[in-house]
Amino acid sequence: MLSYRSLVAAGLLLIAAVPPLAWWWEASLVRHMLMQIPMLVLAGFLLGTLVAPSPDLGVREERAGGIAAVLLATFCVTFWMIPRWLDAAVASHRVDAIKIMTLVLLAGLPLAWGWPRLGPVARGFVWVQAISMAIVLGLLYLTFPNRLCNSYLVNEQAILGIAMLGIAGFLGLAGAVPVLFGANNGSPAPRHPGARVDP
Amino acid sequence: MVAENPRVFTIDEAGRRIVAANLVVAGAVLLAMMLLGLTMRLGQSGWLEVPPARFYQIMTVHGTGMIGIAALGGITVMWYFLSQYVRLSTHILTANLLLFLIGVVIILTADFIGGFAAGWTILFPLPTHGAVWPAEAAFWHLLGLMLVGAGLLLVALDFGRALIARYGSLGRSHGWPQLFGLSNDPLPPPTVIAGTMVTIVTTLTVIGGASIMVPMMINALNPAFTINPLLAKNVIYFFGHSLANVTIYMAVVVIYELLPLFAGRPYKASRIFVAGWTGSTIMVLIIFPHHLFMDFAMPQWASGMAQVLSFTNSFPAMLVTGFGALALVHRSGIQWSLVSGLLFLSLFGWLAGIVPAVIDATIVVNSVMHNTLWVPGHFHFYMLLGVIPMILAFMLYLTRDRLGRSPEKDSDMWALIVYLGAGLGFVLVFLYSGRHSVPRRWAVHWPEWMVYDRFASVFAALVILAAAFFIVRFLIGLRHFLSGR
Repeated sequence: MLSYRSLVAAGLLLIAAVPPLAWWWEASLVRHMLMQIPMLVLAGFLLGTLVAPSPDLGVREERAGGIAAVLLATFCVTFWMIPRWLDAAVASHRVDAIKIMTLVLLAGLPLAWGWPRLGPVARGFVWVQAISMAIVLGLLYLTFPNRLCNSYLVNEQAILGIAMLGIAGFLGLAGAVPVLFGANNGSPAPRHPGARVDP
Repeated sequence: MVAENPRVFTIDEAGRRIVAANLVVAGAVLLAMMLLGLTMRLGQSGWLEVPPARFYQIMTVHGTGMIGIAALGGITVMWYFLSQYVRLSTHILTANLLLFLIGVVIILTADFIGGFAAGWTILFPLPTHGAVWPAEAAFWHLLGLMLVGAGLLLVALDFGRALIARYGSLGRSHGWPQLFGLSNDPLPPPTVIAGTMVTIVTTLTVIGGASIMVPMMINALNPAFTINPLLAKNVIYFFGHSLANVTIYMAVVVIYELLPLFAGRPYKASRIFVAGWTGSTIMVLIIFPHHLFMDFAMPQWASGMAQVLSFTNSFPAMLVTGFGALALVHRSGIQWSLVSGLLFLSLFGWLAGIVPAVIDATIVVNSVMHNTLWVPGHFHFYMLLGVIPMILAFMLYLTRDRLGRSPEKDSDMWALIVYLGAGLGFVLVFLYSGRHSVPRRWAVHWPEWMVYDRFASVFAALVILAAAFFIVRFLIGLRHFLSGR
C-alpha cells in the first residue's frame, strides 16, 4: 500500500519534472532555482525517508556516513546552482533529465539518509552555513552587474537576490525560535563534570 | 533563587590536555603579537627602522592575532568552567585549535609573504584594491579568517547543544523564564548565563562574517563583482566589533568562578544579573554603527541609536559584574595572590576601559577623535588590562596558584605591579597622544610626536617582560596540571 509520503513525493515529481510544467518552472530564474530545485530535492528526501534504515547514533561510522551523505547532497545542489549548468538544463533536455535525476537521487535521497545521522553540532553547522550562503548568494545576485545566465534577464537576478535574502531570514528565524524558546525540559546536571562527550 | 559556584573544578585527562594546548598556543601567540606591537611603537619612535609597508603588515597581523588569541583564550576559559555544568566535547575544542592554527599559518603567509596589509578590519574595497599587494594575498587572508571563525562557530554550537540538552532551550539557560516571572525555578549559574550569551553572539557574528567575507573573496578573484561598500562596512563591523567584544564575555566567567574562591563567598545570579546579561546580548549585536559615525551616508537614526546604546551598554557590565565583584570582595577577608590580583586588575581594566570607549562613541567627540590614537588607547585598555589578565589569571590558577598550594613570592607581586603600572602607562600614552591629535595607523610620526612613542615603547617592553614572566610560570607549572595533581 502506498504511504502518504510516497504519494506526496510522486506528486512533487509530477509537478516539478514532467513537461510542460517542468518548462514553466524553468522559464523563470526564480521559479527554476527556488521552486523546481527544492521540489525535486524534497521529493528525493521523502522517498529517502521510506528507504533509509533507522540510524544507530551510538555507532561512530553511522555519524561519519551521515556527514558524507549531507556533503554529497550539498555538492549536488551547489552544482545545479552554478549559472553555467542552469543554462545547460534549460537549453538541453538531456542535461535537464540529468539534473532532475541527480537532484532526486544524489541530493534528496542522501539528505534523508544523512540528516538523522548528523549530531546536533553538525546540523547546526550546516544550518548556519546555509544561512550565510543564502546571504552570499543574495548579495551576489543583487549586485552583479552582468547577466550570470544566458537564459535569464538581469532583473530576474535582482528578484532572486531579494528572495535569497528572505530565505536567509526565514532560515534564521526557523532555527532560532526552537533553540531559544523550545519546550524541552532538559536533563539533570552531569554526574562527572568536565568529562568529555561525543556530540 | 540563588545559584552557587562549585568549590572544586574537575576535568578529565582529555580535557586537561586540550585546555593546556589551547593555553600554550594562546600564550605563545600573545607574546609574539606583543613583540610585534612593540616593533610598531619602536618604529614610530624613530628608535627602529621599520619600512612603512612592513609596518602595515605588522599592524594587520598584530590586530588580527590579538583578536584571535583573545577569542582562543577566552573560549578556553569559558569551555573549562562551562564544562562544570554541562557536558562539552573535547573533540570540538581540538577541532577549533586545529582550525585556528591552520588559519594563523595562512594569515601569516598572506600578510608577511603575500604583503597583505589592510588592517584587521579588512574594510572593503581596500583588501582587494590596495594596489600594493596582489588580490590573492587578500583572498588567502580572508580564507584564514574564515577558518578561525569556523572553529569558533563549532565551539559555540557545542555550547548551544550542551546548554539545550541540560536546560531545554537557550532561553531557559539564559534565565528568561525567571526574569519574566514565568518560573520560580532556581536561576542557572552565572557561567551558564554568560555561556548562553556567548553562544548566541558568537553564532550570529560568524554568520555575519562569512556572509561578507565570501563576497569579498569572490571580489578578489573577479573584480567585476562588487558589493556596496557601506553595506560591507556595516556587516564587517557587525562581525568585527561583536567578535572583539564577546571575547571579554567569554573570559569574564573566570571572575564569577575564581573570585568567590578567594573571597569565600558565592557569586550570586539574580534577576538583575539576568537582565544585565540579556541587555548585553542584544546591545553587543546592535551597537556596531558607532564605528560608522564618520560615514556621512549612514542614516542618522543608526548613528543616534549607536550613541545611546554605547552609553547604556556599559551599565550591565558596570552594575552586574563590577558592582557584584566589589560587593563580593568588600570585607570578605579575601586572600590576595597573583591570581586574585590579576582578576581584580582585569575587572579594573574592563570597567575603566569602558570610559574612553564611551567618550569616543559620542558623535561630537568621535568626529575629532576617531582617527587619533585615542581609539587604540581605548581598546588596548580593554584588552591589555581587561581580557588578557583574565586569561593570565586562569593560566596561573590552573598550573600553580591554587588556593593553599603555592605561597606567593615577592617576585610574583612585583610582576603584577609592573604589569599594572606599565600597562596603564602604555594605554595612557595612547589616550594622551589621541588628546593631542596624533593620528592612528601612521607608520611614520613627526618628531614632535616621538616623545610619546618613546614612552610607549618603554612601557610596552615592561609589559612584555611581566607577561613573559606569567607565561613562563604557567609553562613551568603545566606538568602539575596535566598530571591532574
